[in-house]
Amino acid sequence: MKYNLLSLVVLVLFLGMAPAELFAQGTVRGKVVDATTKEPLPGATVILKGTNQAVPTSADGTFSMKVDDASATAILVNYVGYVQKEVSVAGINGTKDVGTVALAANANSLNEVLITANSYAIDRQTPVAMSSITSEVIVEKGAQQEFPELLKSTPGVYATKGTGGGYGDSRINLRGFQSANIAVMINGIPVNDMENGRVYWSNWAGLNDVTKSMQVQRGLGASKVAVPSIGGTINIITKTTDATKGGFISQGIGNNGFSKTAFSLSTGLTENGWAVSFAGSKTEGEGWFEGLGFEAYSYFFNVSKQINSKHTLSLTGFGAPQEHGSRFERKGIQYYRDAPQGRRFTPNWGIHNGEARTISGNYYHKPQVSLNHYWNINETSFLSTALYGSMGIGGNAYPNNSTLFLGTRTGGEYSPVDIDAIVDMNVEAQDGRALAYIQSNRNEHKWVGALSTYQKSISEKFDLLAGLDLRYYQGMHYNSVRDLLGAEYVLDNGDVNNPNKRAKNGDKIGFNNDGIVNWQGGFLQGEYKSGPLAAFVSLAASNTSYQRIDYFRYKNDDPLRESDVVNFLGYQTKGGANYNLTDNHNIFANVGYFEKAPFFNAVFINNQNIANKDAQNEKILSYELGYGYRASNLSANVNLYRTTWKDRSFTRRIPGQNVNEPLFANLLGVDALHQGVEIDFRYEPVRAITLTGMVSLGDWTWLNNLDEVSVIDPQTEKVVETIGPITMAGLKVGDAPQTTAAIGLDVRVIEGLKLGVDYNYFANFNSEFNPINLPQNRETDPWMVPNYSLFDLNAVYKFKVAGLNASLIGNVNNLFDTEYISDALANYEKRNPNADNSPQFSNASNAFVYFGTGRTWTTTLRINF
Amino acid sequence: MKKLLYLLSSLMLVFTACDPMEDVYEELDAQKGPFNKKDIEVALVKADYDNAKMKVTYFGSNEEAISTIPAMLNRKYPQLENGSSVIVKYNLVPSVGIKTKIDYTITEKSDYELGGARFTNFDSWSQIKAFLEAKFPAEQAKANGAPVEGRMVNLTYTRYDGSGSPTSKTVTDAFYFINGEWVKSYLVTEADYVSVNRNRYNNFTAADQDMLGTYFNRFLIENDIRAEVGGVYYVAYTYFESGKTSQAVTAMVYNGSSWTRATATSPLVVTAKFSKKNGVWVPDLTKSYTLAAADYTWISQQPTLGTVAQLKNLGQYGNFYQSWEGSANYWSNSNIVNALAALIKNKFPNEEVGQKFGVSYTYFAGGNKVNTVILIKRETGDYELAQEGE
Repeated sequence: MKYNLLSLVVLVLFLGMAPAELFAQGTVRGKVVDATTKEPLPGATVILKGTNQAVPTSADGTFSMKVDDASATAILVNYVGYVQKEVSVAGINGTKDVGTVALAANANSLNEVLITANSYAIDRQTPVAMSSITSEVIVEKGAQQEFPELLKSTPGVYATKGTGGGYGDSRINLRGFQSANIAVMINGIPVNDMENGRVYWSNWAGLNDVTKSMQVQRGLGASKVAVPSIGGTINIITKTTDATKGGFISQGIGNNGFSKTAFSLSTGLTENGWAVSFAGSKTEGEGWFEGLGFEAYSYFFNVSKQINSKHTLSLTGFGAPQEHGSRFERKGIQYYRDAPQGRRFTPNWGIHNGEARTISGNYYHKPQVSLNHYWNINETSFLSTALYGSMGIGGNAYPNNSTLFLGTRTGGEYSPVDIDAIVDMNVEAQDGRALAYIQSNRNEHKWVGALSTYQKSISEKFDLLAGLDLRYYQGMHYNSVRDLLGAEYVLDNGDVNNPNKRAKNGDKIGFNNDGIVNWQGGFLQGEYKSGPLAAFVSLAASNTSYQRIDYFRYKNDDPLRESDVVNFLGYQTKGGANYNLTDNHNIFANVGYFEKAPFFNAVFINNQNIANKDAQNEKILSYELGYGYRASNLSANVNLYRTTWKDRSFTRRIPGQNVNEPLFANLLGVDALHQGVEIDFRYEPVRAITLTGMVSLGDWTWLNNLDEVSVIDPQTEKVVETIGPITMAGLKVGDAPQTTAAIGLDVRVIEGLKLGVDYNYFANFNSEFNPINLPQNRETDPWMVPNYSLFDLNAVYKFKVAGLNASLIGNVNNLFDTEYISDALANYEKRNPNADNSPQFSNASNAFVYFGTGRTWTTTLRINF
Repeated sequence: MKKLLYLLSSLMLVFTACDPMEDVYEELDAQKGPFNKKDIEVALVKADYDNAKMKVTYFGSNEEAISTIPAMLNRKYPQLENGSSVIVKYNLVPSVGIKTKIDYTITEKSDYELGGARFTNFDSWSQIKAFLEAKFPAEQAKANGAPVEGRMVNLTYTRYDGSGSPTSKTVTDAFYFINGEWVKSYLVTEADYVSVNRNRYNNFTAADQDMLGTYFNRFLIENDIRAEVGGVYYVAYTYFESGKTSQAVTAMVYNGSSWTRATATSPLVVTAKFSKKNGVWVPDLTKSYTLAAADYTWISQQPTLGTVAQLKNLGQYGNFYQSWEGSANYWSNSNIVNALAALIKNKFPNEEVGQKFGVSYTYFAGGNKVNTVILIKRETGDYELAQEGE
């Protein structure tokens, strides 16, 4: 099969290189896109210069114009809100393909919003490494992938369905950094969790259909706001007043019962300045792995009003309530090999009343609303303000006694959990208490914030920006009873204020505490632009204050119930410059220094209300060099980066001898260095063929050894043991492959039919490891996950039905059903278990792994109107 | 041309990393050993008994089972290689019978002394057992050409029980020699016969066969006689058949809550492990035992088995702490073996010398983990780590 693919590709290339025949008449072809977002511009006008002949661009931005006049010199491309562009067609003889025509937005157009309010980076101007994903790609190649996976062909990115493996469980690493060090912004609003910096992608799953553009800025990024952009920044922009009138409906089906119904509707910008858009979807399926059934909804609305030429107001709201099953148990490779179902096997689901049901899942709904105001104060100044709020409702679900649940099965080891038998156990319990039940750790929150940016052109060449970033966050964390499974109550002693509680479904048990985070940030940025040189310097500072309230571990009248408020100052300073050597070449450099306040759990360790005031800021120093080449049919980038991370400190929970009482260890003063080179290109040899590719070579290592680590008993707050020192220097950072490569080929086979194939390669992939569990006398480094590559295939057929534009989209991901490991955790065991000082090893036989998804397919019918 | 070359060379990457798991699977297979070395659990079915030319679907004794099953395994799994093991579940209806019945009343102090008692009474089973072994030795029976197995002794003696009243009383107990040793058995008493309305003659008859299991279960439970699941207890009773009254014995099996009679239709289900060594299936007599919560508690209460800190930690958490050597709670591997040996000795006092136990226990080293050690009983009665090849 692979050989046939190769011959097809070669054939198509040869066709493309056939010499052009000599026509008496010529044709000019091309595609018009927005220079910043790379979005195609439908309805743009292409005029033959000096004549009245004009053609519009079609829905995907392409155009084709017959040229009778052999003396024609150029075409003019126009679009409302953009600067007209002239493209030479001199000496036309036959078919001339002008390639991609990128139109730059007008200075005072709504694209100001994009760049100022959303910190979007501009090609050949902003000195950061950037990649854009257009909505076209999201629609045509998205299939069942979530945001992180859409980015897998971007240099430096590693995205998987995560250890959870279910809907919304995806994770993304950028340049080897985990999500707490990747800033995610939606319409300019930072969405990383205020307590632990993580991003839960299921909350944004519904945005796929309304995303106008997605831009990844690697490294320090262009954001003015203080955000944890160490690996990079992911900017997701949804459509507002730029939405075109109309909408779409679509229905997709796929493997394992996958079904997605979606629609969007927009009035476009009406004459009196209103624009209203709605979108919604329902997605459900059983998941490729066993037991990962899911049901998800999403909704989106935007109401915008262009009040006058100076003011625009925009109200956006969205949410994505869902529930899904997840993987949870750490198992070895042989365990899956021995299962009759192979890697599809999940131990965490069972049969209850004849129906399949997960015992480890997640349900969450995080609606977010923001009110944006854009004010063109005058010709030189602009103010954008966003007021936003969100709340999070939901949590996970898991059994109270894993051993019991996982050990009670309908048949052998690889059969489903017998939940009915567990219910019987509960029913027999004489005092009515639950022996086995499903509990739920809920992480709910309320979050409000205001973000305001003021931009002033001090002179023709110099802009000054300043802004304020205020946030209030209240996180509510508690364990609760999710399902009594036939028992009358759960006997709980977690609350000192209510001992021997008989808890019913929904009641709080175990723990109940709030984390209050207050954030005040400000930033100042200067931008200089003159001719080919553009430079910026920016400074941002923030104060994070933390407070912890514990309702269960402290009596109601105990003053320690509410902890002290502790403050941490963080700041960042960065600067960079871009120089356009010629129309084709540009180079840039940026450098930045960053001090990041410690996370909530590093301040309040052991779930106690005594704050660790000595928690250290993490310090990051980053340099980057870049080079870009832009021509009509080829664009390429080369980036070199070097990021040092000092005083990385993190608290690790380690299991205690009593399963319900974990211990905590503070790891201090570990340094890491992430450096590498990234190359990416986009080539259109002929109009019908687009070839993209990238290579990313990373060298990410731990720099020093861990000093002695103290393990603290939460009850006494005393050190019970010390671990280490631990030798880590030189070990490769795990959890993501350090070498990745991708090639994508899109071919317009005939008018209306486009085929695409994408290839991704992952290598130099070390499993994640827990420094606490790294033995001193080890024989091997943490296990290295096998290199793997994946193929995706997609086809898009565009046609008209009842005068409406329709497209039939087919996708196959992991075309060859490759069996591969996407996530792995190294584990050490003694070579000779009975010898006290036996050296320890980590290899394929004892690593904990999660396999990646096998072949999936999706077919979608989409009708635009 | 250049474009083609670039395309081709990048496609070369395709053919590497095509089957990422291939090497890993080979590595795992190499570690595991040859494919045909397996660990299997199987229950014998009628076809197996038929193929062994047995008229019934059960064995009469463990010895019969152990000598017959290897051939069955050769037939069932000819392809398995040395090192494989099979746990075989088979039916056992112990062909118990009383070959020799001895009624003996102890009158002399010298008899009590044979059991190691200090006074003219027995206060523990070990004394009685020692007495029986001394008074009715197996060698003597063999020398007389009399059967060794199946001897039943109805012993009348004085039993001392410090907490009873009176503290000393004269009792008659039945003791049965089966499977190479004397075991306590239950002698149906007059009161028992009364309770089931057989006290006219104090015996059971053929008409009672169906009910015997129920009666004996009641007697045993009322006398608080229990065992582990699958445990066997023998009940001796008087039986009248064809004009003759004699003493009979039957095997009762405990299922966790009650006793049932082992018969052809409800046999004992026994498991035995066989390993293939040098091409031949041999019984693997290693018994497996996994420590339960009560066992950790027991160990933590034996002051000789560890330091105060070690024992306190063990009692609190129910696992052996092995995370950090410098801690006072740390159990070294030899400490653990020492404690397990004492536990097994205490729990299974009647094992033969040479009996092996695979003992599984939980230890804590950055998480709860399980380890198994093989202990073997030495002549001293103590257990030690089994050496290579034992």
